[in-house]
Amino acid sequence: MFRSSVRLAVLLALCGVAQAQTNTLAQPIHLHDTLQVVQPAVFNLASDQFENRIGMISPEVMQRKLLLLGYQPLTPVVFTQKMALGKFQLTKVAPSYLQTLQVQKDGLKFSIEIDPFTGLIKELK
Amino acid sequence: MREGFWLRRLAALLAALAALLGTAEGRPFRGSVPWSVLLCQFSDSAAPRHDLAYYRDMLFNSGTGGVTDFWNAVSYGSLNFNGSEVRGWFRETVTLAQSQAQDRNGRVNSCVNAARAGGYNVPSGNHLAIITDPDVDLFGWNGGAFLPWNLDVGAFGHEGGHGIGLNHSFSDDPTYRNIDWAAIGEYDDPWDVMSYANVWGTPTARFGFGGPGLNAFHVDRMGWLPRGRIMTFGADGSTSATVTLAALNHPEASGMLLVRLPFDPADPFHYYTVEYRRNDGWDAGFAASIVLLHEIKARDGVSYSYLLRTRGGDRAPVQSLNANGITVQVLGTSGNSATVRITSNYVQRCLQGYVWREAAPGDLVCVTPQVRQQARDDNAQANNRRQPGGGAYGPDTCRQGFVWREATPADHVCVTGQVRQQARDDNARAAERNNPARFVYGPNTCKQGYVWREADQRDWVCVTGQIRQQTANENAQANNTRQPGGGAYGPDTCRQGYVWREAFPGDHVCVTGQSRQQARDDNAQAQNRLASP
Repeated sequence: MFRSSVRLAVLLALCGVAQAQTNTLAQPIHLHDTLQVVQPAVFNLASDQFENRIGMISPEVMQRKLLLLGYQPLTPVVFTQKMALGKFQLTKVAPSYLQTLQVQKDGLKFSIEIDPFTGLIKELK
Repeated sequence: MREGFWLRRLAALLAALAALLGTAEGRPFRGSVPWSVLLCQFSDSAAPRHDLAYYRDMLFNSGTGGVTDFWNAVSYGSLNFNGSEVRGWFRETVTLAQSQAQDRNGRVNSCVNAARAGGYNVPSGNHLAIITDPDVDLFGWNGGAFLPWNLDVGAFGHEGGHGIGLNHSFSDDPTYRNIDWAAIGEYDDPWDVMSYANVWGTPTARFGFGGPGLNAFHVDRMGWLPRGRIMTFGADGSTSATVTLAALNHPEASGMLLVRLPFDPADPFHYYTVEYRRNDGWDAGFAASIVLLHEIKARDGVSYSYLLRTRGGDRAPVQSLNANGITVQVLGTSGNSATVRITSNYVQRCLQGYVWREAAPGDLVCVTPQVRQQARDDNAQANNRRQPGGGAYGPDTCRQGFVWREATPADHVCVTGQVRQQARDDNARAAERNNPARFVYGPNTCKQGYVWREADQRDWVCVTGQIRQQTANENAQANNTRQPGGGAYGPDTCRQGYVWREAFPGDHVCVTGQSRQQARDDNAQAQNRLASP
């Protein structure tokens, strides 16, 4: 019984391949190459296989980003390694990695909170 | 016994199918990268701040100013996300606090399991992205990424770059370290999205910051540049030229999109590059349009780009170079074009294994090191081998048993007849031993035994010579294998018995089914046939 089932499965698989081959000759179809990876059913990767795959935004780049968004910094943009490390120690420490900055926009002065990793900004009005 | 046979056959079949699914990763690549994006929340989370439509627009719908538009632009239409999907919001069984206490495997599995419980299994072969609201972590792995709910286009541009095999970009500044886990110079090319988040991004209308594009080396590495728009300086024998560059983000302009400047005879993958970037589109975050120079070199056997920066001060990208026999001077930029002046002595350099003979001043004929040593020894013996007081051939007449070497027309050093013949042979072979620039083919150089298929100007897939010839024949026959007057599939409909080759997206040359399968197989083997990883 088991043998028959396995044989049937193989034959069906092979027939499927053969059928697909036959169909490809009938008319053109849209099939592109795809770039694929095989994801594990259960993730159990070694810690070094997870990567912190972005770099920390530099104060210089952040300064320009603020200007492009219409913010005029009233205090210097300063990021430290400690702030960046805090991003990845969220489970152990408070999110002290965020920097609070005084800015002016559209004539208003207020504070913003900057994530030194992503450069994401939150207005604290 | 027979059960074992069938089990082995089944196992082999499954292994073959798995291999087909799992080995397509690599470059050069033109086609689809299917992603499964899972949106996850925790058991105690408030309502999510964005709906599925937001992320579909941001990531996979075209014309929205999102990620798909970004990659379409920087790949010149070579890369798409067809087959991708966004699913969610799924609610994990853990609370936010419990998720924060999990390790990274746990965080991934919690979301994947929530999706399964919600009826969605990530299709085999898809890249996986997990987005959580609220955010708990930010990391990636080979084939996936874990992202915050408020990610921007730049973040997914960067992770998408990793997903197709791109590496981080560097600068050559030995004093720069972005973060303690980063290597020296890593993330210090803000003109390249592979240095994200340390990049000159630009605001998008709906999805935060995006861009910049890729540097030219990365575009070249993916095989997206037309071969006619790449100059390998000196390959044609030139030693100096004024070169017009088209902005990498404006390929409609005329000029070179990339200039390679080889300088290392020992390593054809070690060279400088020159590119021009205009500050608009995805590069609009640049303070100004700019010409950029990079050094391309291997690190642990893999090629990386290093932006050449000035030392000290504002560390601006260099605008002139004088190193390793190469000079580059940026003459100016205007709109979509820039001009640079380049000189190189590489044409005169020898292929690996050869050195200049230097039998006389200016003798740059490439010979083996033994022959050069012979020339030095012979030069040292010159006075002893000359006939004292001269002779029938003037003051340089040789003693009995010696003849003029004639390595150059005026070379009257007396040597044995065998050495003179050696000099003649070396002179005759001079052209084939110099100018290593002729053998610098860039990141998609094929392994021995393979050549580029060249189905079109951007087809860098390595195939056998026979397949390249077959591809050229198919292109030549394209009009004859197409259905006259078109058909159900439009003007490119094939005659009965033919199908589109689809060596790359949009390849509608009609070929046999066997040939299409050959193209697919060759594409799947593309990475394995490269000379350099």
